[in-house]
Amino acid sequence: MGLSSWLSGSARGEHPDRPFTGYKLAHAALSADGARTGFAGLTMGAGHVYGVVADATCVWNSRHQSPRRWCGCGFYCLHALTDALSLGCATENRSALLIEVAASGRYIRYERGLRYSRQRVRAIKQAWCGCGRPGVALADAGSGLVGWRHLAPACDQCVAGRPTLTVRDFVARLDGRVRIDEGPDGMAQLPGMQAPAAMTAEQPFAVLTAEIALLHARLDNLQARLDG
Amino acid sequence: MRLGKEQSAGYVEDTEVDSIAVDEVTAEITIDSTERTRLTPTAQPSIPVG
Repeated sequence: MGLSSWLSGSARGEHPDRPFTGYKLAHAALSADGARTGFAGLTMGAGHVYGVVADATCVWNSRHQSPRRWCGCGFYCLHALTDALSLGCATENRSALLIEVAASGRYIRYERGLRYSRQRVRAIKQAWCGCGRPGVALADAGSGLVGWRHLAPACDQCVAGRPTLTVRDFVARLDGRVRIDEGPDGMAQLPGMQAPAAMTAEQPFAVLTAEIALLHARLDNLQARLDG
Repeated sequence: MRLGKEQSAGYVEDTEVDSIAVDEVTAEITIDSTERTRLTPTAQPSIPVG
């Protein structure tokens, strides 16, 4: 397809009857006043926060429509959830949410995903704490943009004592409806890993505490004999 | 994000719209309410006539 045909792409290209389903990563963001939430991109879109429904604009050239073939602009998403999970393994992406989107408008289709002009966030599918447990809340990530704080998922043990926003509160402050894809036990575990059994995790600590208490009692007894 | 080789291009309408839950819609319908049209508390005029 040459340039002229791309300029009239909407007339000559494909015309699917419904938006594409795609998967991508995004940082959760909270406005400075705490009233609104949104999503921030990871690479080219990292300087902007978008809502549930958003239209892409080119950050380099506002005179052309996005996405343009010879430009890298536009929203990006992956066709396969597994590819998005793989992307989330990268160190710089660990604190991002995995979201499902409906991709529409002008688009360019690639082997593994799409570049497109209109995006609707449908669901938050995964949010993992940095320790590997499922995230139950969002805490200040320590980074952000002017007017927006980045939030990072945190588990119930890592959030202790920190100000947080639950994932439900995050969704409630978005400018539209977004689903939270969680099971009866909350967000999914990391693939290939299991949740630790509560007893096996706490038992060694409890035994150690008892041993220390016994040791203290013996020391007190010894001290009493020496004093006597 | 690497998406691989380009395959095609096109346009697709955003056919998904925000739905409104039924329980969010409330309405108060009053039919034949005389209370809303009455201007005085009683049927008698408040100012003596004649």
